[in-house]
Amino acid sequence: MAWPTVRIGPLDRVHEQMNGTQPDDERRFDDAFRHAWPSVFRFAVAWTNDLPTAEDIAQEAFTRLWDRRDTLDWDRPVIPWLLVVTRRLATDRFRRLRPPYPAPRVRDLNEDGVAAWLDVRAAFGRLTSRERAALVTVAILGFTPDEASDPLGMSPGAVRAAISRAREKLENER
Amino acid sequence: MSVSKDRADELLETWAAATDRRVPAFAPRASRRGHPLRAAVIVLAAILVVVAFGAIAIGGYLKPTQDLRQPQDAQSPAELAASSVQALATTPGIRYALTVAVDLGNDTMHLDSSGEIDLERHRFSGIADGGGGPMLLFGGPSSGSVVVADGLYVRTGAGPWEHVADPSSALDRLIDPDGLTGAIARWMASSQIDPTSRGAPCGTQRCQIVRFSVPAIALSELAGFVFGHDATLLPTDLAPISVDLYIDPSGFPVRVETRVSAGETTIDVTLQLTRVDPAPTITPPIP
Repeated sequence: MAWPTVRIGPLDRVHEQMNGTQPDDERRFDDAFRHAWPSVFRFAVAWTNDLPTAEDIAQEAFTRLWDRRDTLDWDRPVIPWLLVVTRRLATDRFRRLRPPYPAPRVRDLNEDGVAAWLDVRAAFGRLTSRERAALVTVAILGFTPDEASDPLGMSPGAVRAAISRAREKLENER
Repeated sequence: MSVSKDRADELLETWAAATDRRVPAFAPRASRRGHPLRAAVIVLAAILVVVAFGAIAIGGYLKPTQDLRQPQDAQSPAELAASSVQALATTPGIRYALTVAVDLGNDTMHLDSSGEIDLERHRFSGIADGGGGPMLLFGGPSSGSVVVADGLYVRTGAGPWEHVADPSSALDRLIDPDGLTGAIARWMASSQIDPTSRGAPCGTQRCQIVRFSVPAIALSELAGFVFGHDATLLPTDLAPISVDLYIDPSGFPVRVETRVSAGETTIDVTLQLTRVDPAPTITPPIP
């Protein structure tokens, strides 16, 4: 009799947990989380220029992935999807914010690290969010401008132009 | 490389260092992953549901061997329980409604399902909703002895019917009538039936309620049968489990109620059954 078996699908997962096994999609999620979290977090920092906000957004992006883990096509690269979600979350977060913005909190950094972050944050703060995101996606995450096009929601040419402007602003930052 | 370019790279390097974090632990909202002990409680509730449906399947499989029908007042609770299985054996069809409510303390899950089972043609159809929207179900026709042996079809939303090609191992076990009969028989044998039955209204009738007290070892053995492993993770704070079986004046089991709880987790399971005679007409949704 099949019915109860199927509708107790989530309970089958529980059984697998009890049995020491893990469903394929959860295992893939765990792999994706370990592998992609640093990129998603940095991408979020690039958009928000704020570490705690970026942590929240990265968590939310992976929560979206978790919610879709059993319907997602895991054969396709997951990072571009996550970056698109991250960008939209960052944009939505910015739209909801009202000045004054939350005071920045910096965790996991020592005193020198905090000072360095505040300096670099000020420097990166002179870039537009798109310039910042384009620069980080290519220079830090290692995407080509073509690959970064989708996650950034910009054409490859616009990505290159944004990177060029970003570097120029940073080069003149003193 | 110019000095100004060095400054840009230096800033990028600092930025990269400041954002080089250890991957944190992922905490899905509302801790949906749950605690292993919670998981054990949910599995126990699943077992009870499986047993309830398994009893239906066996009821359709068994042929009546003796007439146990006699005035309910003259029957002991154990005889009432036995007669209810025989009542299932002579039932052409069943209408069911199942609710499973899980309270995890900080999260809840809910499953509602209803449908019909044709025990003569071994088909069933129903609808189920676990919170993700209604899902239509169809099973059969069967090449075996119970309701479904060769296919389950599921439809969600306006999408097409889809064949569930790889149902879990629990299905294989549930379509093994001999194995299931033995497992339920052992479950019944190790459970205690309250020697005093109670009366209670059920719909327009008055039912007799037979209460089973289910020991943990019985659940453990059933878990071993249904899931193919030993359920060694029974919660230490598992509350005693009792199952109330409501039997109508004709001897038909019309309602099963139970609660499984341990710690903050509580699961209420209610299964309502209605005899359908003649058998319901269930047309396969796909050729």
